[in-house]
Amino acid sequence: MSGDTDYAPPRVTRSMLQRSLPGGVRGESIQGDLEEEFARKVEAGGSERAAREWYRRQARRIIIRYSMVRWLARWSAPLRRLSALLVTIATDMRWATRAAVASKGVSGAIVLMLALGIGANTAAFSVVNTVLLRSLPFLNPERVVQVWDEFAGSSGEPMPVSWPNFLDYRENTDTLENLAALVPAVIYTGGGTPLRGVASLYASGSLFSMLRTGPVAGRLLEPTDDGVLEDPPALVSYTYWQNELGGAADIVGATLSLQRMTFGPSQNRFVSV
Amino acid sequence: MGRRADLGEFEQLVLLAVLRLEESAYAPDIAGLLEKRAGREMSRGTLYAALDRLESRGFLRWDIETSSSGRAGRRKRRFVVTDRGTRALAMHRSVLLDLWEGIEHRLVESER
Repeated sequence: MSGDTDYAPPRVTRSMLQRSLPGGVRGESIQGDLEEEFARKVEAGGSERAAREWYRRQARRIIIRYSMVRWLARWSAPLRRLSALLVTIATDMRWATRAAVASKGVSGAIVLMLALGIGANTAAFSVVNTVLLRSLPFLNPERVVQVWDEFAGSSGEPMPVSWPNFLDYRENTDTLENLAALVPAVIYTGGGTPLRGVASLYASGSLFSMLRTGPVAGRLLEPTDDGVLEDPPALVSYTYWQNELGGAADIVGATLSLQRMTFGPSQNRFVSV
Repeated sequence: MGRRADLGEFEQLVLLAVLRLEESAYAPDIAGLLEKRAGREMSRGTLYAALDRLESRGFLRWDIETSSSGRAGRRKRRFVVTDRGTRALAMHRSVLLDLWEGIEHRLVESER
């Protein structure tokens, strides 16, 4: 034996082996054994290169072995618990199936009640989600407020704002950045019988610039559109565009006949979606 | 019945090697003996797995020895077969001898 430092096993492999071995004498002795055998091989006349290859091969196997031991030590208990849980669930399912088959009437009633309960909850949550939880689809929705009028002597019921009042408010406000007016309406479309009612809004031209939203195609209403009575511009929603107008690619600039009014592209105006 | 120690063939070989090596039953020497006398080339991962398994089942124990050269000062473990390990080996030997009794002539015939 020439000494401890004459023959050096591969440094990287040795380091990896050291990290993967258990602590204490057990790991220390395994590393020492491997280095001793490595030295013996070189001293026995073998090439150092062959001895290093032997060391790498043995170290790999040991690393795999002790990595698996560590993995099993870490996960065997959770896996056992999971396995026990799955067995319990399977047993419960079998028991429930047998009980359900044995009393079909009660089972049917339970299923019906569950279906009604789940349906009612789903409907309620859909409303809560839409009204309370889901953010409105435009920029800074928390900055948008609704303004109503309240007449003196009324019981506090909110009243719609008249157009002149709206113009005054917009002119004189120093607390709101911008104001837009909108009136819900049902517009009847097409010329056939019966006419189809579509939920709509009459809106002032400032509405969309205030909401800071953009069109899929064409343009939105603009303040200069206010008061245009001849071929006024109209916007259709994406859903209406897809479902009622067939998603037509040439919708921008097309003419729509709505409630005996024609919305269209005269004077270079566009229908936007 | 009642004559089982559940020792695999490789485990028996390891225990026998440790018994034969006595005071020098270190892992490299165990591997060397098995390669030389049993013709068993094995990875050290396999050997240490068997040693750990035999130790956990009470068939082996080890003592700490001071380092020798070529180990960069690392301590070494000298393995010793416990009484339980010796009994397990004896049981396996007894079973094998019992099964061989009366059919040894088949060995002679097969060598012809």
